[in-house]
Amino acid sequence: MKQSVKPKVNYAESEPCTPDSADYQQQTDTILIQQYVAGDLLAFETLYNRHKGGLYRYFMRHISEASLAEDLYQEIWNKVIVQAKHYKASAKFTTWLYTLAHHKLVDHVRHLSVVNKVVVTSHNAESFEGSEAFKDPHMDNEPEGQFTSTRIAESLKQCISQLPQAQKDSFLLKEEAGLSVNDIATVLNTSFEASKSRLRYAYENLRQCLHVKTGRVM
Amino acid sequence: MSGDNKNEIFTLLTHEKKISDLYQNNKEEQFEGPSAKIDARVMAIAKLQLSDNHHLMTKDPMLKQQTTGYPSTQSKLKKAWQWPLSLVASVGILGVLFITQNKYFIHPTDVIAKDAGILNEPVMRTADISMLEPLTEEVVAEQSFPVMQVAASAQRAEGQLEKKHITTLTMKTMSVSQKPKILMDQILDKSMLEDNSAKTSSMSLSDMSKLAELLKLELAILKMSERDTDSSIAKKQQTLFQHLTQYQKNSAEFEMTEKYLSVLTEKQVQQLKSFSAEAAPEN
Repeated sequence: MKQSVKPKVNYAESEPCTPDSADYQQQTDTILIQQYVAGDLLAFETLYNRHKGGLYRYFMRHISEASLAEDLYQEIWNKVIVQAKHYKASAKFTTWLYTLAHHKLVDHVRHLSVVNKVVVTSHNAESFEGSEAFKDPHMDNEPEGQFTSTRIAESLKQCISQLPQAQKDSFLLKEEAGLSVNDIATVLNTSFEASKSRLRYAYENLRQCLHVKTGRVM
Repeated sequence: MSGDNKNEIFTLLTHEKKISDLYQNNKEEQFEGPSAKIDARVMAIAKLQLSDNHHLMTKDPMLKQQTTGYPSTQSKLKKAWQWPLSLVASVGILGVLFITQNKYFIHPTDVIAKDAGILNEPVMRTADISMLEPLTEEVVAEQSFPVMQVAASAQRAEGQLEKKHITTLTMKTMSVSQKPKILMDQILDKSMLEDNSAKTSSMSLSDMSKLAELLKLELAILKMSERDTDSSIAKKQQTLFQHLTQYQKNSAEFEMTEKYLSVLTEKQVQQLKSFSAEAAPEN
């Protein structure tokens, strides 16, 4: 059943109220963005809180420099704010948001051609074979049982950062944005099969990397 | 946020599921996200944009409709009446144009009537014009007075009449009366001739000779067609008479020949004879 959008006049000057109210949390992304366009700032706040973590981490995993990632993250939200009135309800908000983010990232990588070159050459191969590069320097000194969850999480981050660009993109879109393979294909402008294949490779490479880093078989 | 429930075709394998769970757990534990400063900045921008939009929307209701997706009652009415109003306006404009500019519209019956008129008359004219082409060439070559053109055409017409030997009177009437008449209408502007005759104080002898020949021809035609005396012939006779009188006065040596006398009326002939008789004793 289609939910109706309640246009609220002059919300920008309205009294602040709790953004985590049940009404807003139950609304879909599409309704929230439409409510924001109609003048509801709290709707946008709910939407922002819903997606800020995933988008932030998406940029942080792609770009090693935190300040640059934050800048790009902020630029994307600015774009969402400005282009909210042009948003079509036919498209999923998450798909739209991450498409903007992906394009921004591609532009950035193209702009910094040197960075691009480094990334492409270091992660060119689709297949990801375990090597000494993934080996944790502390692993030899520490017994297997002493790996804490923090160390595993850190290893996973390192493994993700070493994934090829396309595989990393697919993995992050799945894990951070929760997109389906179809949506990933839409965002990355590829076929379903290509996206599926990249995801499989990404998980396999991460498994191998974690095995090398932690010595554990996943 | 593993997305397994959303993905209908793609399902994670066991080791993939483990990695996915590991990533999700770490994500929740570490609370990795943007700083409060960035959050505040984004919200400030969102608020600013909203206030800008609000100002714009108060100025422009159409923008409000676009952003909210709710068309106003006024715009609904506009859309509903857009086509009928446009149609009525178009018909109205066409009606006003038809009424005010009626004379520019061609009625089918007028076209037929005009076509009928065109078919009747100009056929003859066209044929006559083609006949006159050599004549006009002659005229251009000689660069003579219009009277000479008339005389030449008259001669030609007369020659044609004699050669043809028209058997029936009807045929004679048709061919003789129409052709020279049309010839004269087209080549010689009668009024011009008359005006020229009147304006010219003295006509040359050759011109008068031509005019006499023309009159002779016309009289011959008139006799053949058995019609009443034409007024134009009478005018020409009068013109010729006046010029002859004037010429006779100026030139004592001039002898009135049969050529002139035959085309004038009896009264004019008598007058001319009396003038010449009066002039003779004076000389």
